[in-house]
Amino acid sequence: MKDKKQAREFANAIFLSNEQYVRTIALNHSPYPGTLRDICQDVYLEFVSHAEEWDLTDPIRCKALLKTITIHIAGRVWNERTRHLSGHLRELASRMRERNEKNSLYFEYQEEYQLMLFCIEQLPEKERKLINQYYFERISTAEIAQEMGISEDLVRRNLSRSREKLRDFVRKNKEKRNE
Amino acid sequence: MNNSFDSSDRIDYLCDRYLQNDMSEEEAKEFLNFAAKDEFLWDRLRGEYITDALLRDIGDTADEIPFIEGRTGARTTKRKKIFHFFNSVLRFSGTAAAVLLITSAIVFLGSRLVERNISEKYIAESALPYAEKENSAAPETTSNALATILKMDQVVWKEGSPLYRTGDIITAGWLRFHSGSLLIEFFSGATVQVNGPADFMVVSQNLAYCASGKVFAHVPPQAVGFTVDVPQMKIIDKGTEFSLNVQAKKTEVQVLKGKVLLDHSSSVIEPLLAGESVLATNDGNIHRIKSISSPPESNLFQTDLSEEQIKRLRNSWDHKMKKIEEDPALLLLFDMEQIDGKTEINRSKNNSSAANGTIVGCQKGIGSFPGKTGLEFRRISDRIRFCVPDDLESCTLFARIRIDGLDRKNNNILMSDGCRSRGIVWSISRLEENKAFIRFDVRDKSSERFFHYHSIPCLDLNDIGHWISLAVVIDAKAGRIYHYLNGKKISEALLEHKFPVQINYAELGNGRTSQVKSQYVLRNFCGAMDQFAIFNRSLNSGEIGEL
Repeated sequence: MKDKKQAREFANAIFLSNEQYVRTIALNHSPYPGTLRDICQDVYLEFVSHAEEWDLTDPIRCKALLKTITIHIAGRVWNERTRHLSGHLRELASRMRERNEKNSLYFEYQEEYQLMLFCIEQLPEKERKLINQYYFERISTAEIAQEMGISEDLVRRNLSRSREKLRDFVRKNKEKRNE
Repeated sequence: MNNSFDSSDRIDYLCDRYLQNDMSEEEAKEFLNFAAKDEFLWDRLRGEYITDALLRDIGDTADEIPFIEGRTGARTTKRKKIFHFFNSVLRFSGTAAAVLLITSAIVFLGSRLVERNISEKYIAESALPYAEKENSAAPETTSNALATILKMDQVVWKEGSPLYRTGDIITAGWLRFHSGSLLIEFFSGATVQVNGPADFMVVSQNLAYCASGKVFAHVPPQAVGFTVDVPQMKIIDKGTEFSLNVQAKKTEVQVLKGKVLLDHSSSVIEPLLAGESVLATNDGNIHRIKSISSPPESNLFQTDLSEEQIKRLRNSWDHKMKKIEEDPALLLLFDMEQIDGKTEINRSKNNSSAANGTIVGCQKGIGSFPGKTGLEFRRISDRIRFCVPDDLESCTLFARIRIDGLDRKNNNILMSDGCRSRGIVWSISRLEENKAFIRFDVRDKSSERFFHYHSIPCLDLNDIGHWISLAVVIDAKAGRIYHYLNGKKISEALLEHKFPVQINYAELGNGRTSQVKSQYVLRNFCGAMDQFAIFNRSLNSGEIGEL
């Protein structure tokens, strides 16, 4: 592709069509909180800024290219975030990463995303409200605790249980679909 | 899992601590101990991590739906509504299949809507602090600015690139230019000169991405950590000066002072010390070189213009002033340089009835180019008093100013004393959302009302600190009044008043408002002025452009 602008527009479109795939790879290769967005942003920049250097006409090669870039950047971002950790924190982060890579937890992001939306509704009222407040209304755990008149520790435990329950719902629904 | 109730509670808590990224060393140790006894905990944590990422993503997608505006409480309310909408749709749907169908459709629609703005999202997101999203306080508009263009030298912008000017603030995004040089000051304190041809992206106040071009960076201690990301690696500064030459398939780095860290793979962080250089290629190789082949220029870091450049600017200015002086319609010309004690000399040579001005308070400062003097308006009492007693049917008022802040609702450029009958007020009026417009008000004979001639909103935060020229032209013959900004006509209106205006005793940069019933009594201008002129005829666009 000779025209840079055109190549970048094309790369932009390819990235968008593979965004879920990039997220999947990123989640698998950098299991460290708060890194997903940064990885996707870096992959986007890398992919689009070099658009004219790559053959973007073959969708399979494009996907492979995106995978390579994402793995590389995920590694870099993970390294950057965990570099300053020491002792047990670093060990915990490293073991999470090792297990993720070893087990190659693969899932269809789009499918999980849709199921997640459905499963939120399956949660009991209290837990659904908690998920709504924390993730969608972005109220901090301290504020939720204050509003509910309970300790912040309890809010955090409840959040963790709600996530676990959601995960379980998603898994069961997936199994149902596959039956 | 054979954990007691207490340990189960503790594990829930520890998982959340990990996901919120505030786990302590002790807590990590505790989790590892639990996990040593129960391997299932790793799957549990991994599952929660994925759920957490998906939930955050769902929240972000709601943010990007175009009809949600702003990033404050209003947005949260709208977002709530959307999720309530989700909930209610889901609640009343009959079967699980129908529910899935609807959610799929909504997700698909949502993703299509998001798609339109996704590039901007990836570029701009880093500029928006996460804390801002959590802030539910009353909205106060601000800028997403990350850096300022300090200097430019013969920059030829690429097609589609924003056409920045010297002094402009930069938000996250690309700076693409064919040739020339830019000096950019990041808000972190780092300063870089980028030499074209270059594709340089400002990502955050401490991070830039350079796809091509030559870069010279000066990073003071307070900006340590400033990072330039290039295709082959990241260059993380540790308080220093370094040069980059970024080409399509390779990047050369040279450290001039201090130390930088090169992050070029997932596990290798390599320090580079003063005098050392490396070459990194796209195939992942990196090796030391003696020096970079074509070092970037750093000439824009020099603070002063050369004597010759200053002389050239001065000659051009003097030539222009002489031309203006000869205009028979010129009533008043203050260049803010011909000052005798506290007297600002009127340079008009037409035996004008307008007298010299009297400077009250204003201090001398730097004008619109090095070597040019301007007068600073800082204190509430700073002003220049003068008198133009003539009746003006048609007239032109011109001022070159630098706005340092829009402190008042109305920031006077010129105001007739007490704004008496037929007097005028020429001011910059601040709007909400950090915008401003130019207003020109004429008081009618009965002194009971004003005729208002307002421009469109034409100034914003980007104009703060810039030298700009303003002009207002009353063309009685055409029955029109025009506002000009930087030589360009920005607004036009029909003249409503049917009498000649009379400036009479008046003040620049301030105004006596004792006779004006207004809640905005303080009207002092905050900034500087280095040229002011009044003509008793209407100048055309070409003439205004030459002032």
